[in-house]
Amino acid sequence: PVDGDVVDGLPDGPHRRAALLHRGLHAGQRAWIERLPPATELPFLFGLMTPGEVTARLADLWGAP
Amino acid sequence: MTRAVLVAGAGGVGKTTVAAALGVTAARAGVRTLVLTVDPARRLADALGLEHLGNDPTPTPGEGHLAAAMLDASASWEAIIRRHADPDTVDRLVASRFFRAVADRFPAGQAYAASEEMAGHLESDEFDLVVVDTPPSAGGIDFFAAPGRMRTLVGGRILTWLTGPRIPGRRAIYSLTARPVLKVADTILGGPLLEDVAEFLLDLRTAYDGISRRAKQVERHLAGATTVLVTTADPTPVREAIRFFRELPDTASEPRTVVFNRALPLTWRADHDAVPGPPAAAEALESNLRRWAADAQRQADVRGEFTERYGVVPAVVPWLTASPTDLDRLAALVEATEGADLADLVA
Repeated sequence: PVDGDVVDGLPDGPHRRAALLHRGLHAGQRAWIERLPPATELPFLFGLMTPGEVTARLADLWGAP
Repeated sequence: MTRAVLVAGAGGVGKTTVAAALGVTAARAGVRTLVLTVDPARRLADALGLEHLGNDPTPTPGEGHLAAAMLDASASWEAIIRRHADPDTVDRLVASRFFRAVADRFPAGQAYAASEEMAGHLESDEFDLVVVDTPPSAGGIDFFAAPGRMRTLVGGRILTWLTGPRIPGRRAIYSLTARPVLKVADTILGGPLLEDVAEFLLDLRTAYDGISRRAKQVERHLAGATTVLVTTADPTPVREAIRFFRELPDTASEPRTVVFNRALPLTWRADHDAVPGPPAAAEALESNLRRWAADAQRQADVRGEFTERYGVVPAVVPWLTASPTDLDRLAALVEATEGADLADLVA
């Protein structure tokens, strides 16, 4: 993880915007996770991955013997 | 004549937000606009700054030409029954538990009620434009198929087979249900279920002709409407979007555009200058950008394939980390869209 201050201090550009997107989605995801019952276990796929990465991981799982 | 723009698609793709954004855009262009939603999660109400939404249009504070309404399926179905059923049977029908189930719990029942509400507003002359945030059930198809299915149901052979070509007297039904085997069935089912069903269908039968005629009128409204299909470039929504094109009834018009929501900038794929800052952070930021850039490419590939298959010009809406929460942000969403011009749909 990258310190929030480092992200906020970046010049405007794709790195900053991608980091802000990632951070915003992570915060949104945390908000939903915190509403779940305490003992809920989530599969590893719910770590913050891009949709393409989730798709690839699922494809690997389904293709695995 | 009042126009309709139907915003269709699977659940979770941003339909309500797109519908609200189209509504704000139209209203700010001076078009008297109603946005009709079925979403009970209050997303439309919150986005438009409204405390409460019901079946009756509520004006949006600060936007003189914009109103919103949320479908109350139960109230809509009761109005449908009151319009078409024999006056002697109306109170019995609306009190029936089967009627409540159709109105409140079945997605197909909700879909038909939504299409009827849309038709009512189109015919009222109160608005120039009605934007419908359609129910997501069956990937959006249920809304478009509902009037045809309703006509098939009420005009078809199943119900007349159950109730007879001529409406039998109630005594005939009661003597039928007095047969011991049916009494046993009622005992198992926990009450006079079969008698209730028979009575419900008999009462409903008085509304068949009216509902059938009305459903045909609703179908004509759907045929004349502009359809916008909303999706994201992710596998399940795209699959639902393909299904939408495949299963859309002949009576409805094909989507004029497909909105790809939550799009990543293609400019992220290019090489960029090194990131300032500590090496570990710079490496993490670069890695993060490359991962999202790869997804931007994946999304572009999906859009390209979809466009080639269906020949629609996509409208590409950028991915926002937070949904628009006010009218200005909703209007900005339409302005930020690339590809097909969404404002043209509602002008």
